[in-house]
Formats: sequence, C-alpha cells, structure tokens
Amino acid sequence: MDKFIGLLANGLAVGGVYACVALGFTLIYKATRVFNFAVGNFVCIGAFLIWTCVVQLHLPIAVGIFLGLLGGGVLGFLCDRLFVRPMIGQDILAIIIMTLVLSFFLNGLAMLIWGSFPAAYPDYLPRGSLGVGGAAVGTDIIFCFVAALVIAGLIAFYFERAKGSLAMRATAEDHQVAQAAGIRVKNISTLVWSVTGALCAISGLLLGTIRGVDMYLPEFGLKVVPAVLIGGLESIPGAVAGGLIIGVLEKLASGYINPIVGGGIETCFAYIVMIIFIIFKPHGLFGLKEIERL
Amino acid sequence: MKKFKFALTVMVGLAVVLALMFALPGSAVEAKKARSVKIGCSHGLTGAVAVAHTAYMESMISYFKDLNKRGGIKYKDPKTGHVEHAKIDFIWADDGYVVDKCVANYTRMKGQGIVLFINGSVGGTLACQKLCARDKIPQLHAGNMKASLYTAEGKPNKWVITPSAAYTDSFGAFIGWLASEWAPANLRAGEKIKLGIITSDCAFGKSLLERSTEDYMEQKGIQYLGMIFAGMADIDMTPQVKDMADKGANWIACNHVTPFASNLAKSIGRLGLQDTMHLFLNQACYDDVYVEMAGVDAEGTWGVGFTGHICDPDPFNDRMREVIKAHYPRTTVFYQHGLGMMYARSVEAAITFALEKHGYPITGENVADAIRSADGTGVWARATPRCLIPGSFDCSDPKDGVMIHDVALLTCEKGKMKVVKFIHCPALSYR
Amino acid sequence: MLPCGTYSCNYSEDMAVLRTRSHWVLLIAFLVLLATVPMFAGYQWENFITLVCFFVINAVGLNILLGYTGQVALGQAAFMAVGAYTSGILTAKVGIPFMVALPLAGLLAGAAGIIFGLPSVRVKGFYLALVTLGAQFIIIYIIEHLEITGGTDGMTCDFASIGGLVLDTPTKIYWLVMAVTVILVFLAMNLMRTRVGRAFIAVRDNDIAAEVLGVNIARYKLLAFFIGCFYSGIAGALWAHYTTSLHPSQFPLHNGIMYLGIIVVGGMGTMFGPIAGAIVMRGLDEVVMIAFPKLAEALPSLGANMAPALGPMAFGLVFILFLIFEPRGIAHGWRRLKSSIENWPFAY
Repeated sequence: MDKFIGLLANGLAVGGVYACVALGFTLIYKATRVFNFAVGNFVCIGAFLIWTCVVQLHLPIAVGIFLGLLGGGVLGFLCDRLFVRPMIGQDILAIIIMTLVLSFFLNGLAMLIWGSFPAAYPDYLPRGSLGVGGAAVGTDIIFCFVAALVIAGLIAFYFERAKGSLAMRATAEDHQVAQAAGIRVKNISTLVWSVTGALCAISGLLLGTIRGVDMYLPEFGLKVVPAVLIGGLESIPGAVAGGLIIGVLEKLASGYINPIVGGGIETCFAYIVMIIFIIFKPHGLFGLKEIERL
Repeated sequence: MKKFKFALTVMVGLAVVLALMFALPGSAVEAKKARSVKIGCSHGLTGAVAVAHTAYMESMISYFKDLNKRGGIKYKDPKTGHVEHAKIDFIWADDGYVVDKCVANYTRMKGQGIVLFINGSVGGTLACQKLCARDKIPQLHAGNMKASLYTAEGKPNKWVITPSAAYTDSFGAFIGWLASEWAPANLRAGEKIKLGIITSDCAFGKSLLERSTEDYMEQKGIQYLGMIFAGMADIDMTPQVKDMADKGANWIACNHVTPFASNLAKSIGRLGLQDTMHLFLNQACYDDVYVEMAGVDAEGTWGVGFTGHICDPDPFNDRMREVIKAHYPRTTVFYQHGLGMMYARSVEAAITFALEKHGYPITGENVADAIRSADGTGVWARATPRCLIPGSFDCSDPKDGVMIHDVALLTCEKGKMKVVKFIHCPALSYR
Repeated sequence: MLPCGTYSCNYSEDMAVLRTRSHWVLLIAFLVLLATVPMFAGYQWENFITLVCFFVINAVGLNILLGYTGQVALGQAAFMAVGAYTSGILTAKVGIPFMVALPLAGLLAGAAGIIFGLPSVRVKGFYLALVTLGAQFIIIYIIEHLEITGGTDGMTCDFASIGGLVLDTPTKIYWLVMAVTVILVFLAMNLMRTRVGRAFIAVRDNDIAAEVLGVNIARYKLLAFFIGCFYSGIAGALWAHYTTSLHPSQFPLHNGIMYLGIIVVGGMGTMFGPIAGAIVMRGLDEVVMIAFPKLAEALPSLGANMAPALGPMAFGLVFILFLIFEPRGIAHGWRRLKSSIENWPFAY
C-alpha cells in the first residue's frame, strides 16, 4: 500500500507539472490552432534562465522567479513574432513542422548559452519528508504538486471565465469573423504565446527543483502531447486532468509493470494509453466533438 | 521578376553549398612539410551526452595542440636510426550522438587518410565495427562496453581498443575493496554485505553487471539482491529504495551520474536511511553538480573517478587546470578531464610505438599491430577487459596490460568529493 | 514543358514521363553516370551518395504517405528499424539469403505500418501524427525488450551476399543501394500515374468528397501506410547490411522528424522533391559537420562546446527559412525557375 501511495504522490507531482505545460499547449491551440511541439524547449530555457538569475547572478529566489516569468514571456513573444506570424495562412502541416524544427533550433540555442551541464537550484524549500500512510513523500514533491495546481487553476479560471477567453475562442473559430467583430487577432496570438512561455518557465522551475535542470527537459515536452490528447484538445480543464492522469499512470506503470517486462515501460506507456484513447475516444475526456462537413 | 530573382538566389545558394562541400573535404591541404599523422575523432558534442564528450574533446584538442607546438611526437625512425618528429593532425567532428552522423564522419575521415579513429558513442562504435575491420583502421572506443570489445564469436575484436577500465572492472575493484577493507572495519560480527543495483533500463545502466561479477560477489561473501529499474528521468526513487531496504540492503550500486545519482541519494535520504544504506556510484564524474543537487543526502556516498595525470606537476597540467576553471568553473579540477587526457595519451603512445616499429608513413594496420604487440613496457590496456581479476586496479603486473590512468576511490564529505584511496599507475615512459 | 511544336495527341502520350527522344537520351546518360560514379569519385563522395540514397528511399516512401495521401507520419525511423532488424535476423540467425530477406523486411515493415495506420481510418491530421509518434516509441521499446534482437546490446549481421558475391566494399554497396533506389523511385513514380495514385491524391485533397465519389478511403489509406512503410523497411534492410551492426539507438525520433523536414523542404507531392530535399539536407549536415570544427579552431574562444551547438541551430534556421520563404519546397522553386527561363523574355 505504501508503494502505491509513494507512486501516486510522485505521479501527482510530475502530473502537476505536465498539467501546467499541457495548459500552455492547449491555450495556444485554442487561440490559433497551432500545435506547439516546442513547449519542452520553453520549459528548458525557462528553467535555465531562472537558474542563471538565482545561481549565477545571486538574486533572491522571488526576483529570480519573476525574471524567469518575464524571460519566458519574452521568449514566447519572440517565437510568435519571428516564427509563427510568417506562417499564418499556411497548411497546418507546415506549422507543425515549423514548431518541430523550432525545437531543434531552441535546443541548439540552450546548448550554446548554457552548455549541456546539469544544474541545480539552491535549496529554497525545507528538506524532509512527510510520512503518508507508510510512504515517505518529499516536501519538495508536495510543494511542486500544490504550486502546479494553484498556477494551473489560476490560469484556467482566468481563461474560462474572464472576458478574454471569449475573444480567444472566437479567434480560434475563424480569424476573419473575429476580426470583423472587432477582436485583434494578432494580439490574442501574441498573448497566448507569451502566457505559455511564462507558464513553461514556471514549470521548468518546479521540475528543476525536484529533479535538477539539464538537457533532458525538452523531452518532457513531448510527453505533454499525450496528456493533452487524453484530456481533450480544446478543453482547459481537460489539459489539467490529462496531465495529472498521465503523470499518475506513468508512475504506476513503472512501479507495477516494470518488474514484469524488465524495465523501461515509462518511455512508451503514455503513448500506449494515448493510442487507445485515439481509437476509442479521439476527442478525449473533455474535448469538443468536431463534425466535419464537405 | 521578383519570384524569379528569389528562385535564382535559392539555386545559387544551393550551388554554393555544394561547391563548399566539394572544396572542404579535400581542403585539408596545408602542404605539411613536417611529417603528420592523421587521427579522426567523432564525439557527441551536442545531444544526450554533450557534457562529457565536450570535456573529453576539449582536452584532446588542447593536448594535441600543445604536443604539436613542442614539435610533435619524438621517435627513432627504424630505417634511418635518426630521431624524427611527427605532428598529429587531429580531425574532429560532432555527431550529436546520432549513429548516422557518426558513420558519415568515419567515412569522411577515412577518405582524408586517418590511421586511427576515436569514437565516443556505443551505437557508433557498433555501427563502425565491421567498417573499421574492412578498412583496417583501429577504433579507439572511448567507452567500456563488452559488446564492442568482443566479436560475435566471443574473440577480442582486433580493431577496437579501449584505454579505460570496463565498468565491470571498476565495479569489481570496488567489490574487492568493500569485502577486504570496508567490511572488517564497519560490519559487526555475523553481518553480511547485502548489495542491490538500482539503475535504468539501458545498455549503459546495465553494463555494471555480468555473470562473472555475480560470481565474484558470491566469492567475496557479498549477498547480491538483484537489479531494480528506475526511469532515467525519475524524480524520486523511494519505491525502489524501499524495495531494496525491505530486502535488507546496506549497499546500493548504480552506474549513472547526475541527476539519476542525485535523485537516488535524495530518495535514500527521504526515507531516512543515510546511515544504514550506502550508495556506490560507479562513475563519479561531474561531482560538484551531483553533490549540490543531492545536498545533505549525498553525505557518505562513494564513487570511482578517473583522474588522468592532472595531478602531476607539469606545465601542461597547470594550464589545463586554468582552462578547465575558465570554462567549467563549477567543476573540481581533479576529475573532469581525466578521460580526455587518457585518450590523448593513449593515442600518443600508440602512434609513437607504431612509428618506432614501422617508420613513417604508418597505416591503420601498423597502428593496430603496434598496439597488440606491446611488450610489457608499453602502457595501455588491452582490448580484452578482464573482469574482476583481483587487483586489477593495483597495476601490479605490467605484462598483463596496464591502465595508463590513475584511479581514485572517492567519498563525499561535507559537500565535496574527497579521495579515499588513490592508485597511481605507471606514467607513459616513452618521453 | 514540352518543346515547341510537340503536341500530345492521345492519352498515353499525355501521361508519358519520357515524351521526346531527348528525354530518353538524358535519362540513359544520367543512369550511366550514376552507375559509373565510383570510377571517378572518391571514397567520400561514394559514401556520401550512399547515405543520401538511404534518405531518398525513406523520403520517397514518406512522400507517398504524406505528400500524396496526406497522412502525417512521424515514426518512419521506427519502421526502418523493423526492416533492418528483420533483414538482420533473417540473414544472420535464420540463414535466409539476402535477396529473399530484403523484400520480406519490407513486407514486415509494411505490415507494422498497417497496424499502426489502422487509427487513420478513424482520425486524421494531428491525431494521426501522434499515433505514429507513439509507434516510434512503442516499436523501439519492443525491439529493446526482445531476446532475438539482442535487446539493448544490439546485434551484428554480415554484409549482403547475392549468389556468391559478397558486397563488402564501399563500391559494391554503393551499386546495390543505388540500384535499389533507382528501382524504388521508378516504381513510386509509376504508382502515382495509376488509378491507385489518383485515389491517394483524392484522399489527400478531401477525403469525405473522395468517399462520396466511391473511393474506399479506408483501403487506400492503409495501402498508403503499407507502401510508405515498405519503403522504409527496404531502406532499413539495406542499412543493416551497410553497417552490419544494429542497435536501437540508430533509429531515433530525430531521424523521423528529419525525413519529414526533407520532404517539406524538397517539395511534397512531387517526385523530384524528396530527392532534392535529401541531397540538400544531407549536404547541409556534412557542411555543418566539417565547417564548425574549423570555425571552433579559428575562434578559440568558442571552445568545443559552443561551435557544435551552432550546428543544430544553423540546421534549424535553414529549415525555418525554407518554411517561411519557400513553403512549397525546392521542387516548386525549380519549376518556377524553369518556367521563367523557358518563357523568357516573357513573364508568363
């Protein structure tokens, strides 16, 4: 039982981070129908930025986080302006490939600036662990989970309820109609990319706290995609739910299935679940069903 | 007209690219009046293992540059009896740890006339094995995997050499030390050492263990508790550590470095087992980052490090220390460049031997032959890693093939790595 | 673009690829040139062209799948692995001759393609891309955990042998690979001129309309997957006998994305596109790998770490520039260039 609780706790913590990044992914899709495969690189660059501020420039952690958020936002803004804007109106495939290739480019950029060193944040959380039903769950993991949920909740709430979200959904439906209604489509696009950049930076901080910052972070981005799919592509609560579910399932699989198959199932378990969902419920748990006409 | 101009620009651009390609491969053309021996090297300077490979590559580049500045390799020509000099033309490239590019690098360098190929990736070494055997160019595999060092029939692969100890060798030495020195000092009567392995499911992680390692552990009275897997990117390994603790483990071995190693240490710490469960890291490179990430939970962990000759009072080593401090300020100078220096010095030794035996110019076959016929005063490890021959870290019998690098058994104390036991191997003696 | 005064008077003339005598002459001259490359090119060029051919086979297969049928496939590297391991196991462990193992490898890869292509009957676009992404990880996982493939240790196999002839020198391997490439490109080009090819294009342009017109889209989508993955399987089998040593790390996701990039840069939906894209991308790779160490040595402050990082950046940048400025690829640019030359001094 304590093994289950340990796995569940870890799964929820990682799932919380997936939820944040998935939220960013979904926001971009909701507003502009662009699949951003480069979210992993946003996470990586954001994490390294915060590390630079906190460790190399010796700023206090709160200032570091603020600067990291700013930097992430600027990164999202630049990516939108330089790489996505020129692609407006082109085939959806071209945009997917653009973001895939953008991830190559950002990978190279991160390596150029920070080398490929693993890096660590100073201990800003209290050390220790909580005993939960026989398992020991680290306090940093609990913090990560709570922080991720709070952030995701705030962003989700804003975009679901506030007036801004209506404009976003209108933009997603049809650019021209939205413009006719007076909505500034370009501003919406820039806004969601910047918000995603900032979200990913904070996710990078959380991930870096629990496992250290290195060049493996971009691969997390790829794991987010099954999460988004399971939750439902255009649904914000779906993104959060999908992230948590994938995180937990992955950890449970690695704990219980690994001994049977001899290890390594966590690399592909998320994709197996995703394929099952695609076959039986392609729109995910909370997604909107699209009816396509000629 | 605009479209035409753009299309024309694109075509011209492509033509320029192709022309460059024509020009560049052939353009290693600085007519070298001095004798030069070409060495090719392909490492993953970007990609999964960029940290390590960049360090190795930088030290190799600096070492050969320095060597050439001092006149190159000094050898006695067998035909004329005079002392001659030969420079080393070090051709290096990045393969991003991707096998296609490694093969492409190798074939391109072969076309440029290399006599030795240094290869940093396991997949790349495997992919180039037959190619190197066919082209008769020895491959220095900068890693220690059994699959590359032996042919399919189980014989030592003539065309692959490695200058470093196999992972099973260093693990075996640790087991020997554990049983003969640590156990009597730290175990109470009747207690046994119970060792488990927590690693990730990949070739590298699993390379710690072989049949002979298990037998050796049994022979030394250590109870082996089996291998449990954790994901490479796992943030927390408390379930696996708990599993081992339930079996009564007091030692955990692992073949990974940060952040896997750090997270493992943190997990042990979270369960409060620091005093009863010890961690052995078979590769304690990049120690500062490991220690920093694991924090207080790293206290007491052990490791093995390869040091090269960086401790020698030697002007080259002093400069290397400065270079390392400038580029990698967070690294303890002691360990980071061990392997790179080791490769460079093995290559220097191998080429010197080949030149002294066969004269200039040499071919790949000459180099392989020279390495294989080391008469005991030559100093490099053989291509057959001997698993667990007791004392393999002692370098006591030079005729067996001796490791040219120094080895240290390390411990983490008060946030820094410290040397517990330092084994000095004979230095290169041909200078 | 037919020369002045040449008209097509019937359907077969209209559909002909080689219409005039000069076309035939050029084609034969080109084939002769390809066959005699080893005689005047160096070792490096031979190898370069061999490696380009691997990319070409993969890209042509992916082009059939994506360019002509519109099914996004990110996992081609894994299907190449299936073909490679099949051929390696059949020749090394079961003892089947290479000429039999080669098509079998393609067939098995095609079958795997059909299995992972089944969801394409229900979903398309982004969802299908993710299924194939999942295929990449799942197939590699399976390969790593089977006894017969050697798992994470990898396996070795021999050079290909046809009859008694062992193909172990670079030149012989070049001839084998080039012959297979030429045959496969020829087959692909002809496939697109038949009814099947037209059905593929109909599925790409608007699959619902195609279904209304009577095209069985399920059948043709699966057929497209089969053919695309068959090509990757053949490429894999040739790769296995080129390096004679197989390891799962030789087929990463990065390669699959590269193939996608190749056909986009080259021009989707054309025959010339994948070939041009493969040459450009492979050439760019070589230039980057050669140039950046020289750059690092010229500017020592960059160090061995910085310069190689510029490699992927330059690569990504070239891709991005192509996507922004020439989204229809090199083939389209070439066509535009040709037509503006032919129409000169008129604008159109």
